[in-house]
Amino acid sequence: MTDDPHPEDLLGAYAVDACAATEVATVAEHTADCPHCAAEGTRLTEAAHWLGVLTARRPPDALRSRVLEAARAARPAREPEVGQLLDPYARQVAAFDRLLAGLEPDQWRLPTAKYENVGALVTHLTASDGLVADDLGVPAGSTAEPQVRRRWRAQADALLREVATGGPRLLERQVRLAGKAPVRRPLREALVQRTFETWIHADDLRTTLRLPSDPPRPDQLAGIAGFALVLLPGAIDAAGRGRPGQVRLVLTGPGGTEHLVALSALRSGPPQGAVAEVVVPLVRFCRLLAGRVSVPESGAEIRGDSGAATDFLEVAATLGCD
Amino acid sequence: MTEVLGGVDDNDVRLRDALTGGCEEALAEVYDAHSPTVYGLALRLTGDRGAAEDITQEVFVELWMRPERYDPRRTRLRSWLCMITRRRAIDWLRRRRTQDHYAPVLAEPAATAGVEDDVLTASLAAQVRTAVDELPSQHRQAILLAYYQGLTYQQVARALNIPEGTAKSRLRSGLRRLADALAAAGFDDLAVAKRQD
Repeated sequence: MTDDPHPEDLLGAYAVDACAATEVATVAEHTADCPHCAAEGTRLTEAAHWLGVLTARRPPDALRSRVLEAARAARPAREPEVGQLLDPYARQVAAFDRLLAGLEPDQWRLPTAKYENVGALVTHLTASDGLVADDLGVPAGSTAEPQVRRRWRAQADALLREVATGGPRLLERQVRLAGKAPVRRPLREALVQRTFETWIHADDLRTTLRLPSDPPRPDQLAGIAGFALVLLPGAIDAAGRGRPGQVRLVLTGPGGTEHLVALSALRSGPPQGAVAEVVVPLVRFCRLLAGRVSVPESGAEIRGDSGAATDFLEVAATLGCD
Repeated sequence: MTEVLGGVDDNDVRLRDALTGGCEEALAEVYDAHSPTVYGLALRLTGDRGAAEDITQEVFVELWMRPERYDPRRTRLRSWLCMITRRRAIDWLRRRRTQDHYAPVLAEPAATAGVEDDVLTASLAAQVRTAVDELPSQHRQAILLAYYQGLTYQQVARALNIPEGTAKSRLRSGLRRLADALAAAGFDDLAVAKRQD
């Protein structure tokens, strides 16, 4: 609560933009710190703008296409290919934001997943998103935002907006991925990773709040698995566990698919054939990738060379973004 | 931040997110839902069809260009569009009239013109009309002058020949009564108390 006198007498005029500029500034400054006056200002403004419906009138039919054309000229609409990559991410951003918006102040202090509290989790996600945002040259004007939630959301919105406007060619731009090892990949893959990480942290918070998990759609989970499997052979090499041959990975459940994954990115030549088979539900494999379930917890069924399969799964479990 | 009363409108959130993501279908949806309100309000304020069309275009293009400026947690999309429409229309008016040339015509009778064109908003308009009609006439005059003619409270005071303090107080009391009446009529954005973000 502010110490300034409450400018209550101005709240009605303020609600209908009927104050002088200096008075508007006074009220805005005051309501930023005074929940009581802010609530009244909001209520009076909402009431006033119901007056807008009294004069509703159907505009000329030709105005619709004129407006949409002017909009397209001012900012290109996104193309379908971009929308397919953007929508899953946008959905996760909206879902996580909805969870955060509903938190009580004391819930922000709850330890969550590998983080000291929810604020630290959101700050971490902001940093991960920031790698892509920086590489795209998205303006970092939001860093002055004091609230971690708004800072994260403003950056995510700026990122969504940049990608939506950039067109399909932008999807090929090399950007940094989040994770333990520095890797640059095309933006189209980084967007899958953003969807992945945002979902995992939203689920982290759901676990803390004892809410049920809310995974992406099966086709989007399949995209997350596919994204990680491209990186996996190189990661196996980096972990010093590269070897000839492949693992046949059978992902079960909705969206499930089969993959042949090389156990090294360095060994060229004809495929050696599968030395082991791993069968695991798709959604659980994605959680394994995020480091949210261990190899034994994943319940993966292994056939063939169990050493190769275990190396494969243990390295897969390091591909998360923590 | 004070959250919009009655909770956040999920549809407004969805539309705002889709606009941020460059989804043109979302803009068409917002236009179809709200263009009668925007155009009608711009026409009421300016009395000029060409200006009302230009303002309608500017309002929706502004939303498309900068959807992140609209925060669904603070206000309903319809309210936000009305606010932008009024600001544009008032700018247009101020460019065209001298300081003392606002007509002290009370805005009551013309207010319902055109609503019958739009089935979606007609029943809402009827309820708002009832709530406005039930306001004490002094409050109603002040509010309608400010809202539909874009007058400042000082100009309202001059138009009604009352002290400025009285004009401010009538605007506030009138809007409080209007909010109470609409809340009683079931308008959920005016129904419950504030909530902290």
